[in-house]
Amino acid sequence: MKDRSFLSGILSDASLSALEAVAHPGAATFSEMVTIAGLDRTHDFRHSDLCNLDLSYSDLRGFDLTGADLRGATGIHVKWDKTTILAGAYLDGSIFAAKVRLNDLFATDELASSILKSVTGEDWAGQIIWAGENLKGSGRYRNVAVPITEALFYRAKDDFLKAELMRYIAPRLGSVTALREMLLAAISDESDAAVMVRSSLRLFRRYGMSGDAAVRQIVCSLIDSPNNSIRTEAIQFIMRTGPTKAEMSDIRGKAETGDEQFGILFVAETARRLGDAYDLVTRDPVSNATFPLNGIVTPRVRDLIARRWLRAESESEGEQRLPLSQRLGFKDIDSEAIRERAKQVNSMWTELARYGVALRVVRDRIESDIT
Amino acid sequence: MKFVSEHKNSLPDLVELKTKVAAKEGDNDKHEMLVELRVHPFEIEEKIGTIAVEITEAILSVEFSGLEVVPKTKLGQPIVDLKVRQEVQRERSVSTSADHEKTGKLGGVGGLSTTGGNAKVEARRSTTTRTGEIVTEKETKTDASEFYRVRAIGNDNWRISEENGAPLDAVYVNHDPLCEVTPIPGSNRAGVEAELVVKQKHVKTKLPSDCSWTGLLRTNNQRKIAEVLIAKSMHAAGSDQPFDGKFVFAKSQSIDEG
Repeated sequence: MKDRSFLSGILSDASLSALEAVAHPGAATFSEMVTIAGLDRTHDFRHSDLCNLDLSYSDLRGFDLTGADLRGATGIHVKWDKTTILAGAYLDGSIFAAKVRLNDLFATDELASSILKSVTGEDWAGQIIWAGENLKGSGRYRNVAVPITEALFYRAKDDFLKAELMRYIAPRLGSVTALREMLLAAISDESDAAVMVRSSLRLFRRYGMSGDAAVRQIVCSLIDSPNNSIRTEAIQFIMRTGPTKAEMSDIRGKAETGDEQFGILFVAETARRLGDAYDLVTRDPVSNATFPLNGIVTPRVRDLIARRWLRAESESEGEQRLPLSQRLGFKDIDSEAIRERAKQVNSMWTELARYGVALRVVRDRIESDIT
Repeated sequence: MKFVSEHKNSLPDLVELKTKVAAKEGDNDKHEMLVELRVHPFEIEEKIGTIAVEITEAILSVEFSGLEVVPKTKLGQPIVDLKVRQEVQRERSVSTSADHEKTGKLGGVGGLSTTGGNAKVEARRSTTTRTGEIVTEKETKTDASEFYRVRAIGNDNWRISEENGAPLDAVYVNHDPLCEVTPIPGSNRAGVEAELVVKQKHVKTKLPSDCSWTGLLRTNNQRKIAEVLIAKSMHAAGSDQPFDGKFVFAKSQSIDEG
């Protein structure tokens, strides 16, 4: 007779408690969640499926990830070093791939290794000159110039040197995959350097990688950056390249709880996605500044926007190519036309609410003729 | 030689492995290692609900003592041809035309058709030039390969997998010969020990959604850590060895007792 008909009860109380703790992690990073779950970083993650993990702010030192599937794993401010064991791990499209590839090459190619050692000793000008000369088809060390320049790029501390080296190697890496992995590593390492982030995002777009899941994940990590310039680049990248519902919901949530600048950026980008007229109806008609998220507007402001829109449409000479919000126009507008257009502004505000931009309309204290 | 078998299947709902070494039918001088291997998705009933478990890849690892595998007898051993046959069809048609338009077209079709367990790769090229005549050239190249659900991969291991990473759910070896074996002269022990080893990345689990808190495991990071926790628990249910990311779901041995 069988001992049992169905498999049951293999999860101990400790395991169930650990699972429940993982379900309530707060804002824990991956490595913090591992600690919460009571897992052993030196054994439990061997041969594990960790693809597409967000490793941002995690400390992976001491993790044994032998044979693990880390494809598409990204993140910023990730601490990992020689104690992070990646033997036999699948690393395609992860922040680890480019550096592990280079390390493997320099471990087996003595010439490349010795040249790298020699060039690393040069100052930044010497490194740029070396890269410029050897990356050419006639360069003495052209066969190993690309990996050496890439290694110099990761080692460089100076933003200008990094940007120059990136400019040199990006078109010479030979494959979009290698470029993607280099840029993922670059952003992971330099997520606080606005110049690097901007250059990397530009290259993602130029080489048609904006739809890549790993790319989008690491760019989403940058949305939390305290650097407003980096945050702006990240939000614009995501919102201008076919955002998913989940991405939009995430950005909307962060805009809701973030500072006013974040909210304004969200309103501007949402309006931009919807078209030129939406850009106009989300701007203050007097200052031309974009309304903050959940900003307060009055019927008077609405009517001023309607009048501004009608004037912009009348477009004086030379303004045809300008966005509506930058046109002055000249025509006098009658009150009936303004009332009609104001209705349209109202319906556009209603439409904007569907995209998470809910402007609050309150009554004016004093009604006045605004024609 | 008289072999006695012993099996230890720690999670038989999921994996069942049996081995037997027996004289080859019709030839008592030769022995075969017979294997029965089934793998199925299964469910674990827990306090929090039902956890669904699937395996997407497993390794059947065999250790031979005092026996050696007879060459050319391993199951699922793809042999590549020394020569590759390439069929190229050329087609050329010419007709007169009054216009002098020139067009060039170069196209490639690459695909993987896995119908019926065969994979085919086709490449086509066509070029059309119109300079008072029409010339069409076509090249067709066809390569065929086969997918082995049970595939010998070296070091006396066999990989068990389905196409496109689908979950294992079948009897993969149905008391069939895995290989033929022959005694190594002078050995004082003869036998085979087989294990079905699964890496934790090839075990897919799905937590119940009706529990009050499992629905909160929303992010990819949470789900991956939950999978490792469940994997570790499953390992503990069938082994007293420390977890190192691999499961030995089943063991079976067949030893000669003279």
